[in-house]
Amino acid sequence: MADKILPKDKIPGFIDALQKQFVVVAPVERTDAPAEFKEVAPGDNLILDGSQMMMPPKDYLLPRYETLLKVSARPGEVEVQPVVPENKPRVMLGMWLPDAQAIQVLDRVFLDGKFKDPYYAARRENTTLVAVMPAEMRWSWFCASTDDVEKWKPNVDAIMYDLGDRFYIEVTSPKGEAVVEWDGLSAPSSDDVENKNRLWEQFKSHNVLPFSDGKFYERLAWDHPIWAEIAQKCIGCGVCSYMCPSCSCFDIQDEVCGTCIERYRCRDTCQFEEFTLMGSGHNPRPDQLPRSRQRLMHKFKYQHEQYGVVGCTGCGRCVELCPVNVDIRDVLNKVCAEREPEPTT
Amino acid sequence: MSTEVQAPTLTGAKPRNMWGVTGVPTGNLYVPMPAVIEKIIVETPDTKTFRLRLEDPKHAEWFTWEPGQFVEVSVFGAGEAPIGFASSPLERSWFELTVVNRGKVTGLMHELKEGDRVGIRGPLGNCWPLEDIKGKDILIISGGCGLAPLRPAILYILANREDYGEFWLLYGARTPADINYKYDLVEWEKRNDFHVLQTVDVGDESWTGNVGVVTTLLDQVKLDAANAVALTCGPPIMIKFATLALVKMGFSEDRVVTSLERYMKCGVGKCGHCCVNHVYLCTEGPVFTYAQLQEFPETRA
Repeated sequence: MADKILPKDKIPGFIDALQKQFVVVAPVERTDAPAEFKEVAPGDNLILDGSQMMMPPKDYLLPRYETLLKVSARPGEVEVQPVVPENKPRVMLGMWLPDAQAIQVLDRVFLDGKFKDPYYAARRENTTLVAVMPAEMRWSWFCASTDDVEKWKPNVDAIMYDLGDRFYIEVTSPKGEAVVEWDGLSAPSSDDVENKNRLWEQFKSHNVLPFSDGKFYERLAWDHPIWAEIAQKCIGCGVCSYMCPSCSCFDIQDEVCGTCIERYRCRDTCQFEEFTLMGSGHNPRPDQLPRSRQRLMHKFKYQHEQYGVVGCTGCGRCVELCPVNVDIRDVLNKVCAEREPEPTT
Repeated sequence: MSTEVQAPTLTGAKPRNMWGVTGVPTGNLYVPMPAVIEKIIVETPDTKTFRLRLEDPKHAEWFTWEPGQFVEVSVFGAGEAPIGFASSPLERSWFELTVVNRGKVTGLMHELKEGDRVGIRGPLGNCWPLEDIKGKDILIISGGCGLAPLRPAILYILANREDYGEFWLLYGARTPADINYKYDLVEWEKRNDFHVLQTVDVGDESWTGNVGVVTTLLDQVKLDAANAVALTCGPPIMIKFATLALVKMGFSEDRVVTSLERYMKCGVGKCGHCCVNHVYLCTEGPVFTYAQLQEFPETRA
């Protein structure tokens, strides 16, 4: 697989060339909000170097608000019309590598063989993922603590390493070949390769925390005192899961607009009281302690048991954005430091 | 060397048909099948039973289900709610859902009239292990509207009565007015091959039967716990105390089967609401044995 160099001054030509084959989706700068993944339109300013925190790419693949069905209900007749997005070739650029890996988690949930979600599938199945490796590691990243990041490479189709005045495009899957077809790209020099390798090594060794031993999920104990500690601080705002690149829980509701009914889905989170509140008034997770425990156990333990992938990829958004400074890295260090793994028989 | 053969562990049973696994007749997981309300039966002041028929014959032909499974019923404009099948699985042309008026969807459903349309996605979930418990004595313990998901099992067992041993039903309601399926209970009590005991938490002038929680009826039950299976459904507190009493009577933990309830939206293991430890109730439940529930810290008694 031939790696290529993209000089930064050639980015507009590169995007134009990609747009001949693909719908190009990338973080688009906004003056009034963080950059968000959008289909690129003329005049958009793209953030391709990963230097800014952007809204997670799940916002494109699994929109925050999405109409699933339109229903017209008249006396004696009901007509249900699904509103499924078009399945067309797309390329997503500019996502952090942990965000790209988080899409693996979403794929397990939404493309599962038995229950394929047609909405997610239409946006995802024909999409080429190009991650970015920024020149500077973000302080909150702890990717290499959550997994062996070498295993992540084939899960994306290409990685763009920021080498200052140029991007080094590493093709990591056959699907990624299409990204480097443009003849405006050049072959990398041996210096480029060395700089790319240096960035990768920097990523691999960045924030490898004490809890990291590839088996920490086995030590997340249901009855650990840490859950009460988090619950005391947590205000249940849900920002950790709304901004998390792999959190995907959703609600489905109906909205009546005149004679038409729209059934839509929108984000929901296990951090909210109503998430498990039943019509009878019974709530299996009646306070913050079980809700705090649910989010972390789900990511680090249950999803690993269900899908064989860890549900957190160490992007650090929840660390940076939590209004009461709950730091998932501290939590994991504490949980894993104080307990030995339970003996297996 | 021991030659003893371990009895197979009982679990909730895998159904033959499940929305999304065995196909989706509407072609999209989230698109419901239109159904017509053929009949509405008022059970109690807050509970109605809706008899439904799928409008499209192709949907109706595909649609088979087993006792213990449920559907997501759409009340268009209000949303969807998970409701268990409440009628006989042997009836193929219609099915019934018993709905308590408690929230937005169920509230609007209670305003619907015969001839109105709802949407159906299902069957969802696993089912009572009725094949695996043939030959056993059956004890059913149920509280309030918890009789609804057990009614298909009762009707199935009664229709195949010779396949099962002694058959007991203990049913508790808050007051005499809250008793569901009074028309069934009258018929069931007449049978000499079905022992039906009822109780209410609080009686009234007309009530001459037992008063007290449903577990107080257990003293009257005569069966061999070693050869029996209990099916339970009701409020969480009832399930808990019934299960503890059954274990005390000698029921092993994998011979007490229960159906759990959780808030649900998608019904196909995606929306995350019904997550109980590492399983989703909508795809791997709602029917579990007490032994299985002990494996989940979140449902441990």
